[in-house]
Order: sequence, then structure tokens, then C-alpha cells
Amino acid sequence: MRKQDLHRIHDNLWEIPQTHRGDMRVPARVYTNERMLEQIVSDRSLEQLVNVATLPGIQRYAIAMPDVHEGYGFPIGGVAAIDPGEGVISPGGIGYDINCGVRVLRSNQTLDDIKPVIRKLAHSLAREIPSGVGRGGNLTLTKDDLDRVLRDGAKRAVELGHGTPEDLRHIESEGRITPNDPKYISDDAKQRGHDQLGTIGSGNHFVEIDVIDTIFDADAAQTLGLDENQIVVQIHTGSRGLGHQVATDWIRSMIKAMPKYGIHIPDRELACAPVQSDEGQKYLLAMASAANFAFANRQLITAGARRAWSHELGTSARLDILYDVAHNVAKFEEYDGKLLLVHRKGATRAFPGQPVLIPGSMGTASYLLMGQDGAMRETFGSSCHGAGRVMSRSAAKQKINGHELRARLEKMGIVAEAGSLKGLVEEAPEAYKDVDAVVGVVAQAGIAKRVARFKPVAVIKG
Amino acid sequence: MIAHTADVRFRIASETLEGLFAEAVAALTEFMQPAFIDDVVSASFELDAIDTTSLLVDFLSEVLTRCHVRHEAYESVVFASLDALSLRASLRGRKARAFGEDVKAVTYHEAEVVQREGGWSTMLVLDI
Repeated sequence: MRKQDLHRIHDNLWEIPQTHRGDMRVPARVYTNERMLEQIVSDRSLEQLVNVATLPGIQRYAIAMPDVHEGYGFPIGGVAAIDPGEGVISPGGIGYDINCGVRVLRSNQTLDDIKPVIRKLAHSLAREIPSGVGRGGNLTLTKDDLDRVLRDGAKRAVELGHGTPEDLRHIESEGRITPNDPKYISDDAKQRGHDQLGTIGSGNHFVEIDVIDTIFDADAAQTLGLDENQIVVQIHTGSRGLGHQVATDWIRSMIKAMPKYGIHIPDRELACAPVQSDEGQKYLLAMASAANFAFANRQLITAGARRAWSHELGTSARLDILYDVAHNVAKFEEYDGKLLLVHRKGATRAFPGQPVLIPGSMGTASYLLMGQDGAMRETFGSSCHGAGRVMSRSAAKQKINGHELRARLEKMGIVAEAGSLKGLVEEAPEAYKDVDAVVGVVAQAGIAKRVARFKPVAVIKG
Repeated sequence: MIAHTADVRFRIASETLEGLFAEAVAALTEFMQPAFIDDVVSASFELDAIDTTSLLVDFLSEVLTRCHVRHEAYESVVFASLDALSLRASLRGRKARAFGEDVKAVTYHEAEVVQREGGWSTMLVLDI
């Protein structure tokens, strides 16, 4: 893709016309400024977006957010709204990590309160919340127990004593997507997930202690109980091996089913089936179950964070859920009186007034945004989901020295508890886009407004 | 191994189709960095697919699933049969205490098994 293949709609929106390729059913649109567009065209994310524009039933535009980068099939940072009557469901449009998402916990401490114990806090969090490659959790579930988690999500975690009913009010879909049915999740997937509840995993997943360094919207911040210098905790993880296996199983199943439905796609990773087909309906039930596993996972991690908090800061120290939102999921939503199935792959729901959680890279900043009317008009209620990678993990390992990175973070006042230097290096700040610029685009486009900015003080990674 | 913004990309090649599939297993095992323990293990399974590319990706996905579920890693594979659309495979390997790299999935992205003069080749992208 060349920059000249895109038409500028305004300073923060560019369009690839439907005429760009004969098989496009709708145009493709990317929210970005001109500077970031130079970087976006350097990988194949926009070719992937054009492929998304060919999916049966896609409505209005295939959309990319400013944090878009090359994925497999769908670009990461992509949104596609599909007419469920005539269109398809594509597991690749949700991704391998079903309901990967972010939860923010609001504390009743300031930076000064935790400064004396920050290392102990980070260490306690690392002890209470298993992380890293293949690390199992503190809870091993029987098949029946696991099925209840898959049906009831965060609610089941609360029933098992890992939180309060009040927590559920602050989670997207109250931490439970329905309808769901665990019987469409394979034994292999259940086996991969049975001991992973309450674990972060590896890759770009983390638990982070942050301080609110800027309030952009005092009224919205007050409504959400946020103030400058307040400490919050971010949790970024998803459905772990269970979700990965569900995606693998159903992409394979849909590749086999597509000839039956006469569906032709430009990339196998976009494998899909009609929403109303047997495969489509079963995948949706499986996806919802895996999403529930992820909500329960973040609930157990919250319980671990609370144990660490009270252990180091006393029983009056609180961590309340501010919000929990998925950025890899498909949901039925109504736009202009029409029910659509919105695929969000590395994109966050941003309904007006809803908190939108945007983790940056460690060492930079994260943002709390609030959805705006523009999201409903233009992006099927969607916003960006993070900073977006610009450097491969292998390139990061070649270019960045782990010891120097740790020293640099320490100099910035950030404690890093990482299972390995390799894991730290792969997620170095320079491997990501400028989160301030990414957020600036969605704010200027009227998709979501800035409420608060978080700066990291301790990072816990696998 | 070739860099990919999101994940990891391999180009694999072999003179024979059996060799290509065996190279794919070797690449996966090497990338996952298993901490082997000495218990020898084996596994056999059958697969079919709509084309050879899907057969390779599905085969490697099956291997990956067994690595995760059984805590094993595989060092060799023998094919009782292998054609363009189906296979019967026997894997041999060892138990693994842990893996150094987490592989979420073997993707179909960019995979295209092609036969040219001199042998078979494809790209493979792992989601990590």
C-alpha cells in the first residue's frame, strides 16, 4: 500500500476507496494523522484492512484505528460491522486471545502513600499473581467447575469468593456474555485452560501500578472517583491457552466449511461462516464462553492484587474496579435501528459515557478515555486499544539491551518485576507507537475524549 | 526466522513434502525452547484438510496443542502416509518441564505450500 492510495477525508481520517480493489464490498477507513500514516503504510496492515472490506455482509467501512499494525488476517486495531442476516462471523476478527482486555482498579492511596513500600508492593503482586510462559494458577478446576466459569464468567469467580457482587457492576456485560455454551469448547481447549485461571501469561500482558499524573476532564474524573496523584492498578490479559485453542479449533472448522457456503476470501486467516449457519452459531457460543473465562481470569487477578494491597498497606487499603473492557471480541449492537455483529480485533468499545482503557507501553503513559457520540456515528462505537507495536519482538531483542532497559526504567522511577529480561525487552517503550499521538487522533476525531493519564511506577510481567 | 511486527515468521523448505512437515515440527520445537526431561513420549494421529497448506498448518497446530496439553515437545516425526490432503503421523519426543517461549497458535497467515524445482517451501507465522 502506498500513501497515495489513500484519500484524506480530514486531518485524522484517510480512506481507501472501494475502487482500490475489485473484491472490496465497502471502502476502508483508517483513523490516523499524516505522520503516523507514513509508519502504517510501512507494514501490511492496510492490505489486511482491504481484505476485511471483502467480507460478506460488511457495512459502511472496514475501519482501522490509529494503533493499527499488521496481524494475521485482520489487522490488529481493526473493526468490522457485519449484517448478521446476510453476513459472516470470522474468528480471525476476534483474534486468538478471545476477550483480551484491560481492567483498571482504583485505589484510595496517593503516590506518597505507596512510595515507601513500592518495591514490596510490586513483589507482592508478582507473588500473588502468577505470570510467565506456562505458569499455572493457584486454582485448578475440574471439568464441571470449568464449565461453570465458562457459563458464568466473573460472576462464578465472585461466587467462589474472589470478589464482591458490586464488582460485577463495573465490568463490560457484567463479566458474563450470553448466550454461551461450553459444550462447543473442545477438551483440548479446556485442558489448556484448566490451571490458567488467575494468571497473566507472557507477551504484552502485565499488571501495572500507575499514578494519575494528568486530569484532562475534571467533571468526568470526579464522576469516576479519580484525582491527580491517585494510584490505580491496570490488568491486561485475556483467555490464555483456552481462548487460543478455541480460535484454532474454529478457524480450522470454518476453513473446511467455507466451500459449502460458496465463500471465497483472500486470506485463510479470515476464515468465516454465515452468522446464521451451524458453524457460525456454535462459534459465537464458544467465543462467549471463552470471553467469560477471560472475565473470570481478570477477576481472580483482581483478588490477587487486593491480597497484595492489603498485605503491604493494611486492611483499609482498597482496590475498587473502575472498569473492565474487552478489546478482542464480537458483539451484537444496534446502529441506526439495525442489529449488527461488530468484530473488534484490538479495538475497544467506546459507547458515549463509557470508560475506554488504553494501556501504553511500560515507561510511557496509559490513558483513560470516555466514549463520545462520534464513535456511534463513525466507528460502530469503537476506539483504539493501545499504543500499537512498531517493532517485532525479535527486532526488539536484537536492538535493546535488557540490563540497560531495566536501569533506564529505574531511573524513570519505574520498578520492573519481570520473569525474564527477554520478556522485558520485547515490550520496551521503543517497540511501540507514541501513545500520546494515538490517543490524540481518537480525541480529535470525536471518538473518545481524554479523561486522565496514568504514568507507571511498577510493572509486573511474565 | 524473519521478523513480523506482531509475531514470528519462519520460511521453511525441504526437498520432499515429508521433509517440509518434519522441518516445521523442528522449527516449532526449537522456537518453544522446551526444558526437556528424559521421559520419552510418542503420539500418533490422523488429519485431513482441504488443501496441502491447510494440512501443514493443521498438523503443526495439532503438534502445538499436544505440547501444551501433554507438556511434551517433539524431536522427530514419521509419516505412515502423507499426501496432498491427508496424513497419518507418529511423533517422538520427550516430556518438557517448561517452555521458554509461549506460542499461542500456528496461523494460516502467509502460509502457502508451493512445489518448485528443488523442493517444497512455505512461510509460517506463529502467534506469540
